[in-house]
Amino acid sequence: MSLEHDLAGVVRLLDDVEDGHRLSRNEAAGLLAATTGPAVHAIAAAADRARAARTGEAITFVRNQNLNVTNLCVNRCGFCGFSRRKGDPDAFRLSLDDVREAAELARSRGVTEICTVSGLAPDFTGETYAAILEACRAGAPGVHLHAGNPQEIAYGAARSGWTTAEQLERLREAGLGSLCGTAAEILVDPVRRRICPGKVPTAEWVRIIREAHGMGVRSTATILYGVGESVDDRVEHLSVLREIQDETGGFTEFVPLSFIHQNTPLYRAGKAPAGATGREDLLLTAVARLFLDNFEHVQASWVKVGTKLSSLLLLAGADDLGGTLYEEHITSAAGGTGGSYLDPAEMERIAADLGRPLVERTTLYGRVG
Amino acid sequence: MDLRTLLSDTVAGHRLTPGEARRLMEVTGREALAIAAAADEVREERVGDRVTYVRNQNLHVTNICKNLCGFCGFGRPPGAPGTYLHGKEEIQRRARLGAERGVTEICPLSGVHPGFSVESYTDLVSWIREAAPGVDVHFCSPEEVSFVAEKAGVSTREVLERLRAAGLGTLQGTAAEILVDEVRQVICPRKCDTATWLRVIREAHGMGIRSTATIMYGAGESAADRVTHLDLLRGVQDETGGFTELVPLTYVHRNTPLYRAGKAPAGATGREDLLLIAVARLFLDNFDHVQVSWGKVGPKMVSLLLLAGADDLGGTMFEDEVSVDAGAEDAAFMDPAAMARIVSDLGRRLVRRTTSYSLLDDPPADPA
Repeated sequence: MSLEHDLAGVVRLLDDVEDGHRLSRNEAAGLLAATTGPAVHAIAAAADRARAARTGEAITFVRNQNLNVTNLCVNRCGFCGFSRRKGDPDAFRLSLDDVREAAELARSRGVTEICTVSGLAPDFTGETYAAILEACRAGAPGVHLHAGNPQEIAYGAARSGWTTAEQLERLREAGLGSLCGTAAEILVDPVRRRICPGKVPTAEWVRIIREAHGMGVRSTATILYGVGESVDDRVEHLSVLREIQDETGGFTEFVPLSFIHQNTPLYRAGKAPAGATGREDLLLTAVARLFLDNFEHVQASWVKVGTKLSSLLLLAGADDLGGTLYEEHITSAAGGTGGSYLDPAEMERIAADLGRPLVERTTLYGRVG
Repeated sequence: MDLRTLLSDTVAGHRLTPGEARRLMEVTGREALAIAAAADEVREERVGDRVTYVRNQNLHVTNICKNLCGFCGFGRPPGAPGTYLHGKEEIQRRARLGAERGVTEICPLSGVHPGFSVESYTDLVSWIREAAPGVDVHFCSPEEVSFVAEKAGVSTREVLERLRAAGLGTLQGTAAEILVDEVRQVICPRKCDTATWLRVIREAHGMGIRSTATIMYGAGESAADRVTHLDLLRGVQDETGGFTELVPLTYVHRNTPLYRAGKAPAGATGREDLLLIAVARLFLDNFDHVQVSWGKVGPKMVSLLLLAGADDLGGTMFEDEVSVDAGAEDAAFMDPAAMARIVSDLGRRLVRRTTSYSLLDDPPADPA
């Protein structure tokens, strides 16, 4: 069935979903392929109803600070404009003292989360990642540390000769609050070989996430899309996440990350398109909301798509605006121009414009204040 | 009346009242998506699956301006650092460049230099015509026409006649901003008033000089103001049929005095952009074309606005210092290949047009 030419079919399917039908992969792929205005808008509206039923009207955000410790990385993912080699003129690496000071500054700004994202520096070990967390904790006691990801866990463990469970345990001792669900990109190995051949394969990503959830370490779930993968690849990815969530319930939210293409090797080599189109962004968020019936929250990443599109994604299934950030080098290195700090006052305006309340949350979706 | 009924009636031919349009413009929730879908249906019926663009070149003349509007980051007073005023040689060099690029339109973008006279404008038009024969010189807004007419003590009709004699193709429907005088007093107090703008446009249309229609929104005006503006345009179009298209210009706020002084919001929200386009498509039942301004909203929003009533991508431009100076990131050369990608992603066809919407029979651009 070609859903995209069959508006009545789309509407029937959306009604079924509203009544509790769990979307199959084929159905989700059909929805992601919709191109006409009435179909696309019907899908977005159904996702918005699902959002209202699941989480209500609140639009949430977290006051957080990103902390990029280094851009030195043994990987060279084709979708990334951030990673540098030792000796590159703009390579940087913060000392542990720098990290502690940055954490102090973050705490003085009243953040509830520090999110440390770094490259895989060639001399990092499992202990280095722990030391970074300890430095954050020393500078910002009580602030939730959202850090690492399955790739960093695998790398640190391998460098130290530990199991990934030992690495996770060591990070937890050092203050890890929750794990970043990044490095997922697209969880389809042929796609990974093309866009991030140095990263852990799908099975390893999934295993480490399950392990973390099993230990009570929760994580986000992400997708990096718009790098030339197919609609079926996107659905396969969502399906992997849905299955994990059925088992563990450990994902706090789904964070769609739209490919920022400008300065990335893949795009420059003509091997990736100029990012996802607006239609693709809207449908990824909407279909994810409908397909991931076991996720509470879907984020609109204003850093990646800008505030105007964020407003529309909040009408299409998203209920969270992510972090205030303050410092973000990964998107800007890739050529993103959305900026690195979004004032809660501006978030407030976007939410109020949609007639919805803005609510500050913690990383784990507790209410603040 | 419930919203669904209002929308289906409108798709079936009901002419929206200003009150109904305002109600649609003020929708905050998911009904906005139903409005967008209705606008998309009307667009499909009116113009089919074509998405048009014009191969044009913007041509900057001067950034010296008598108006210094609060929503603008481009205009500078005489003597300010960074000002320029291009002479005949430079204007013709740029016009020739446009001709070499095969543009069908040259669109001068200019501050309203306090020293400009009727001759300044007729000279510019004829310089461009001479350097780029055959192109549509799309130039002069009602504000510019009325300014130099008053200065010279002649009628605006005479100015229009002289511009036409010099080779003007079509008139720019800019300087409309918001056609509500109380709003104009805040955002562009030195520009001509609403009545003058409308009078000059009617005069031009009556002489057979067509124009675009624009709206500059998101600078703090109300939904009611936006609808009043659209209603005035619809009234003119009923009389003259002279508007080629509506060009919604969303306020680019970053480097503008109004925003910096805290007197304007950070531009329209995505919801407002969507509804402006969609409600304009539904309300302006006598317009064939609604443009989405790539340079102002960026390619992602372009895709969604094409699904909400828009059918035209405007020009290739090659340069737009007005948007860039105001803080827009995507305002330079609009590559038809990038346009083709966005359009084919929606299952539609990109077609090149002239300024007045004659379709040109090009080989299709390869999406990139």
